[in-house]
Amino acid sequence: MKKLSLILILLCAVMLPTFAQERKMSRQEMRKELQEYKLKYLIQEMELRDETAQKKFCDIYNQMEDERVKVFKETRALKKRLNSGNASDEEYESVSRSLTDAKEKVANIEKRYDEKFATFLTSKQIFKMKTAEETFRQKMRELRHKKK
Amino acid sequence: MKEEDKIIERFGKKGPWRVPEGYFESVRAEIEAKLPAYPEEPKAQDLSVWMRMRPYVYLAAMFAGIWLMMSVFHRAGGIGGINLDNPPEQIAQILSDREVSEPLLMSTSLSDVDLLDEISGNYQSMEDFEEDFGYDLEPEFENIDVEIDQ
Repeated sequence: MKKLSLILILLCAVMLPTFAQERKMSRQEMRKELQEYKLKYLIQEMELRDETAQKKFCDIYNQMEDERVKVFKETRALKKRLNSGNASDEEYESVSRSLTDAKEKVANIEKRYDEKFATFLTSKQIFKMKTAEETFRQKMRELRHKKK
Repeated sequence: MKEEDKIIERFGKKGPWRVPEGYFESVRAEIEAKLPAYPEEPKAQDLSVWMRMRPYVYLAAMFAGIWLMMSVFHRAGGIGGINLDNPPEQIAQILSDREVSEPLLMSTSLSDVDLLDEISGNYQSMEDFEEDFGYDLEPEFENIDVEIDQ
């Protein structure tokens, strides 16, 4: 009986720190959490308190993000083509033009979504969202260099 | 008869010397009166504010000088900024640093995906991220349901 108790105590002593350890997230999970954090950050900065508006904002903002990510991925693929170092002048010119086009596409996406946001957000809130996006981006950039 | 016994017989055993009257009462005062004056300890000089601050001012001036010198060398080396007066190789080198080039070339939402990818690789818990991010979400906003489909 004594032996059994001793084994149980030892087992607990070994298991407890394992449970107490902070759960480490995978890159994918972390990415999702960061996106959710960004939304909360934007909502707080916009002072958007109405629950229905919050839900609507999240849905529309996520749609906009999806479209922007799609353009970004296209741009990244284009840039990768130049990484080989053997690209011709024509290819450089074509990719440069595509990069400018991508910026234009993103601007158009944002304009289109601004109209959607305008149906339930005030102009001040839309402005705050844009400045908050920029601040968030800036802070993330600082973090990237801080963590290196 | 010994010589010593003869002396004792003649002069007796009583000592011929006598202490003058009141000698022990006055001897201390007389000695004290004859001693030279005791030298006084030198008084500490009162320091002015400037005298007190002087070492710190000199120290600060020294560091300022070092900083100025480093800054001059840094500029002379052409590092630290994009300027058309710099040689093209140097501009290219500076632009290859993402910290410099990104705000200039990609300061749009196009850079967000890369940033998010990189940051999600750098952290493994939101607690660590939030601590470094340095922004407090109010409880009202922290608990919003913002489920994102991956």
